[in-house]
Amino acid sequence: MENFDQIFTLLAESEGISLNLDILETGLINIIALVGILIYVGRDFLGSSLEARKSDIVTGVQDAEERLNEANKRLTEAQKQLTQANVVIAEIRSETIATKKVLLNADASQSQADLKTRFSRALATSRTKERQIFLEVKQQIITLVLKRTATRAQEAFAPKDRATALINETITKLEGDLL
Amino acid sequence: MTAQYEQELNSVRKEAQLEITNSQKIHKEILEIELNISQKYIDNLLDTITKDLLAKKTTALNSLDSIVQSLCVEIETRLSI
Repeated sequence: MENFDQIFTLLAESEGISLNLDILETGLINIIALVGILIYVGRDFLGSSLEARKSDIVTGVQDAEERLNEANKRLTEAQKQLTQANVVIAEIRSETIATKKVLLNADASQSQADLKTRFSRALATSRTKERQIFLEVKQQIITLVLKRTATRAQEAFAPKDRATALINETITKLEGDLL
Repeated sequence: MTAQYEQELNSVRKEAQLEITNSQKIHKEILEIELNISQKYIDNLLDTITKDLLAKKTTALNSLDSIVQSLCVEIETRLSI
């Protein structure tokens, strides 16, 4: 840091910065010769290096173009896959609706059949009860008529003369038929 | 991207399956409720019919005696017993 400060001190003490036009002192010829030698010697190396560099750049550009083409292809394929995926999704949704309809119809048919069976069973039960009550009433009528007939017969044929008269009348009728 | 599409497809498939299952479940529940309501209606109808039949039976049995007696009188009259 101290040396760095001394540079400014020396510059301030001297005449300052100025252009030196003395060719021999500045060594310009040497520099030009050195550059010329360098160009002459390094031309082949530099050319081949530049060629290699150019080749690398061309290869890089071609690779980039290939990658671009590949990316475009992939993009196209991806778009196709997207379209196919959308088609498949639409098919899945329509199939879902169709499947739901089929399943719901099957369930509804099954329930309808079940309901029909229940109504048929209820109707059969009702008819059985109706028949049973009809038979009970019929049996009651028969019982009443028999009782009434028996009572009336006992009333009619209780006196002996009445029974005798009836028996004689019947025998007479039978004889007439037989003759 | 392909993986994303496949994932979306799988998601749609699962969603569809779930939708079908849920729909079927809900529909079965609705049908079960409707069947129960119908069964109650049938039971009530049977009960009403049975009560009506029993009432008619009682009425018939109550009026049977007089009807039989009337018929017997009519028969006796016609037979002139």
